[in-house]
Amino acid sequence: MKYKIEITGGFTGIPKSYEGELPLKGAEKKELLRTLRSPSVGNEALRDGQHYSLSFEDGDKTYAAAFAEHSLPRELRELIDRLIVSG
Amino acid sequence: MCTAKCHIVPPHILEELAKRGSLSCKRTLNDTGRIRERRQNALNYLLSRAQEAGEGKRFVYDCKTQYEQRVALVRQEGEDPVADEAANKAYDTSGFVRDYFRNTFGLNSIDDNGLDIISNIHYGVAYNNAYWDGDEMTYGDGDGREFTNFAGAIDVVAHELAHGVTQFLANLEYQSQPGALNEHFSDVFGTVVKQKYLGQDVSEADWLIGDSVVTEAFPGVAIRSMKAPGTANDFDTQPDHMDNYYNGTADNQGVHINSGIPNKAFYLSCMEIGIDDCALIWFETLRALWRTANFNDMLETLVNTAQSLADESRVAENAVEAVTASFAQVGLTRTVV
Ligand SMILES: [Zn+2]
Repeated sequence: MKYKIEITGGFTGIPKSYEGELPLKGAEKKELLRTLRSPSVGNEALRDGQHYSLSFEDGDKTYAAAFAEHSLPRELRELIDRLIVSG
Repeated sequence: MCTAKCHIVPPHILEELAKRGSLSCKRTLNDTGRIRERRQNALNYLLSRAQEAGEGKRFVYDCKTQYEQRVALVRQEGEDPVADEAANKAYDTSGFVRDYFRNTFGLNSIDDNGLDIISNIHYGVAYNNAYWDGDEMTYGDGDGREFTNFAGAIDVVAHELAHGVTQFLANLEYQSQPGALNEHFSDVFGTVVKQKYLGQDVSEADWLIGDSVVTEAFPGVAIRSMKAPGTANDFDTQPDHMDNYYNGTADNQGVHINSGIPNKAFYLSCMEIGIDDCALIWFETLRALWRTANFNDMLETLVNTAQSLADESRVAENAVEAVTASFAQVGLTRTVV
């Protein structure tokens, strides 16, 4: 699957965008798509929180979701770290 | 005194009354659900007794690179320095900011009621951010490539802590112009506190925000510049005039972008009447503003505040002229005279 991760907002206000290829097996893909459907609950009092937009292209289908700082699921945090921090 | 009647008054009427100087209606308008809940709890618990003030104690937690707050308490008020320098820095800088607000404006911690000051450090993995969440502050270590420890920068700490002060004084909503003003006040007190911390005056200060959290590899010298918005780095799109106002939807309708306009006006005002007079005018203006205040409301309130303070000989005689001229230079003039 092709992925695109956009991180915006935050103290720096500098948008960051990452794209690449994510090889996933059937069960992993299913789990990812399930996590993308997690609700994004905002925290009204949050200041300088980042916003996370993720999209995945699987053949002719695109799966996308957006999350606020406090609602990004742990699994997606770990995935982002794996893709953009560890390279 | 605003009675319970305020709660059934529609927000647009509360806003008009707040603009006309009703502090109690402003307070009602600004109340978040959480504050209302706290007040209700306090009322239920204490009835006629006033809510006890806290002592604004500092607590520093190590998140141990997890995306969790308060993982391990590493230092609290009165304790000796610890081995982790980031913890000591967060402890020292948050104390400096707290003391600045207390000694300068008589503010008892973030909420003027002795709220404890909680700092979370080492948050997440290579996390390039710092934020205020309504109760406490959280700092990442940065990725080491472009950004470094956010908890170690006095202006970043003051910026985040000032978001807390704004929440309790004006609760400016976090979008469009009120949001840009929210960001502006954090940059104002970020830069004021930084200059005090470094013992600088306005002529020797760099007026940069976040210069110590960027690495040499970062394409720029800082995150923002109050003296020259739009020039701090290759991604800096802050305008320094209303002609270049950002009308897009990104960043909550440009809260970190359009703050460049009042930021430049603050810098210009400081160069005319000094940073201490400006800090007082801006702080008292923050006390008077309300949740939905826009740039015009800000200017009107600044001018009225400067006039009152000048009448009491607490700021320079020419404060009103200095503020008015500074805002005119960024394209903002008074609509009501
Ligand atoms: Zn901010």
